[in-house]
Amino acid sequence: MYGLIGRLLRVNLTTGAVTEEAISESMAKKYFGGRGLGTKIYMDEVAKDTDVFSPDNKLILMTGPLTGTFATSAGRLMWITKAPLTGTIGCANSGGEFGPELKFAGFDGVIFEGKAEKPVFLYVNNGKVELRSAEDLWGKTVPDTTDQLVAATDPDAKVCCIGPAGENRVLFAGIMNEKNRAAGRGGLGAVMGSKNLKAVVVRGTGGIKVADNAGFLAACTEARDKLKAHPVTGAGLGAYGTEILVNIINASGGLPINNWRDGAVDRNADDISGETLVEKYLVRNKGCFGCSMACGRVTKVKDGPYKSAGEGPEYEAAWALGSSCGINDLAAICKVNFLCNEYGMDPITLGSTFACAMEMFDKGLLNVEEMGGNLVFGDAASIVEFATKTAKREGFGDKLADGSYRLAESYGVPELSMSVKKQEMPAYDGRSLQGMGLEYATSNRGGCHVRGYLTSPEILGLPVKMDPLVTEGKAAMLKIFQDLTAVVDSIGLCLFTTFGIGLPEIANMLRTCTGWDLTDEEILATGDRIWNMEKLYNLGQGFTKTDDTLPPRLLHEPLPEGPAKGKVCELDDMLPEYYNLRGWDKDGVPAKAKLTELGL
Amino acid sequence: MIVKYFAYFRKDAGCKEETLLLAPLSVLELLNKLSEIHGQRLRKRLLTADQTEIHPDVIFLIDGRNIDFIDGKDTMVSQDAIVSLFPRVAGG
Repeated sequence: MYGLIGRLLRVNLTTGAVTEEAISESMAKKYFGGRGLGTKIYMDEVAKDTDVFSPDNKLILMTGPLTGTFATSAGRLMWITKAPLTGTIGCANSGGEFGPELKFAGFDGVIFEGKAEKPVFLYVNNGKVELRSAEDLWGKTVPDTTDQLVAATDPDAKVCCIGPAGENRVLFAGIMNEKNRAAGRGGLGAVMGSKNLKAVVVRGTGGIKVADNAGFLAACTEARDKLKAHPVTGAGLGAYGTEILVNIINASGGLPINNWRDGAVDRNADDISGETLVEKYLVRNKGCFGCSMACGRVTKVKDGPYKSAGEGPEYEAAWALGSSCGINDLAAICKVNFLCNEYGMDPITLGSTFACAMEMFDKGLLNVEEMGGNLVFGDAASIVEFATKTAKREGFGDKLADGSYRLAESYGVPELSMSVKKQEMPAYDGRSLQGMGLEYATSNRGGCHVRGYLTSPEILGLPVKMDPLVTEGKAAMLKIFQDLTAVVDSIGLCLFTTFGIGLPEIANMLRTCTGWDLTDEEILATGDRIWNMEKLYNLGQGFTKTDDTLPPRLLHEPLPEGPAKGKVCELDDMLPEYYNLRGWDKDGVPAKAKLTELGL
Repeated sequence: MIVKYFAYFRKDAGCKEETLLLAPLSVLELLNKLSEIHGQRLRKRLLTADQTEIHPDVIFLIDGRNIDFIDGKDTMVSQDAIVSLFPRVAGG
């Protein structure tokens, strides 16, 4: 096989048995790898009524055919299981160098099943595989775990691990690699923790075969040249990182403040912006494997109460911990972001859960005594304090660790959770970006911005200009974005490449790499197949049309100011058309003919 | 009117924002005016070489609305408008 190595590891943590399995090429051609192939394996092997923390649940690590190749920005890996936060299919991806290293070590992915009696880590070194004790690592942070494992194995090893948040089953614990890269959303780190699996360590020096060396080189060079020449992927992301979005989303009236309660114009937005991050705290930028964009931020707060160092924050994290909490202290936001990386925790859900608690405090539903502290809008010190309490499930942190929906629901006010399918929406108000509202409502993993990023046409005019305030055309564009994103997530490419290149360039790299005779249309149809497969999983978990919605606030509370003043999200205008374009019935269920067409 | 600059436009303009006392004028006229004030470097960022079109990599907002969805370069900018100028940069 080309692109993919063609081999998977199966690790039974209960028995300690490790076996190797071949990947069938016909299956790979149908689902590619990463998100697609990983979800297919998961759905084939795990009964739909399996409890997320049961030993019968499985956790799958999967790379794609382009991962680790010369293709630009192809360093992605994907983790797949049921998501503890949402109960939907859970898949979260990450960059860095771990994914390529796994392939260099001889494997495309790993299927973890069962539960270890005591904490363990998996060590893969050029085809040799062993489970080792991690008892001395349990309780340690991500950086400490990583350093200790590198010292114990190989100085060039790459480490993927959970921190205390995953061990404590925080429902939004992430799986971290190389200390600061995160498969962040949905709580997959809690599944890893439930299996007593602390880490995966890989070291490899092998290669990856491609079908057409000259053709692949030409395709990759063409894509790389286009990315370098593009203003977003060539200059912008490297210079300012994702945080550059703070000001433009705010100026467009789409940056939600104070738990989305008080509008979407933050008068202090510039204090937490990408420009300010560069001016005050940026040490250098950093790229993932084979990436020319280098959007990562190595940052340092040199002095003051939040003196610390690490990486980030990304735009959505800065918003969640900043504007959504009424906080404009970027040093404090950096500090909490660093803590999230150290504990292995999603800063989007964390910040949004803080914001929900702050509004509950405003309404008199929570008090200082009950919280054991002061979680109020604008109090930067409190989010530092409660980040640690949440990761350790200490005191009120135990409630915060279950996310905003369960917190608000336990007090009878679930409407104060700004979430979809119990996962918090990030950073783009669906009242001022109508297409993003539809995107959140239909995302297969709950409130999420990277399943069909309509911010691109609505704000940036890429690849076409679409008025953010209108609903017309959004359903059709979203379907294309969702399908293409499923492809990108399944072949191992970074989603950010799609700012600068499109389906033709991506398809050309995939074809020349794998040798698969797939047309552009067939490749995009594979994205459609993956999307429908995920939808079928969610339907099997009991999700219905009533879950394809938004918090009441976005549907019924008009924005008070800004360019979208008076607007709510007109979801009812878009959802029926979206279902129709997908070939689903009026209840959002895929028609039999559609499933037959997709080979599902 | 208030003109706000973002990302590397700040370096080109030498400021984060400025208040200008100008009679109502079109977007294209305003960009030419800003180029006169701040010089060639900003002009190259904001306008095409013949100075008759807005550079395709400029996002121009008036009170938060993208001029692409008003009247483009012919959109009139009032005296009390807040103008935001962004290069086409992104994240997510």
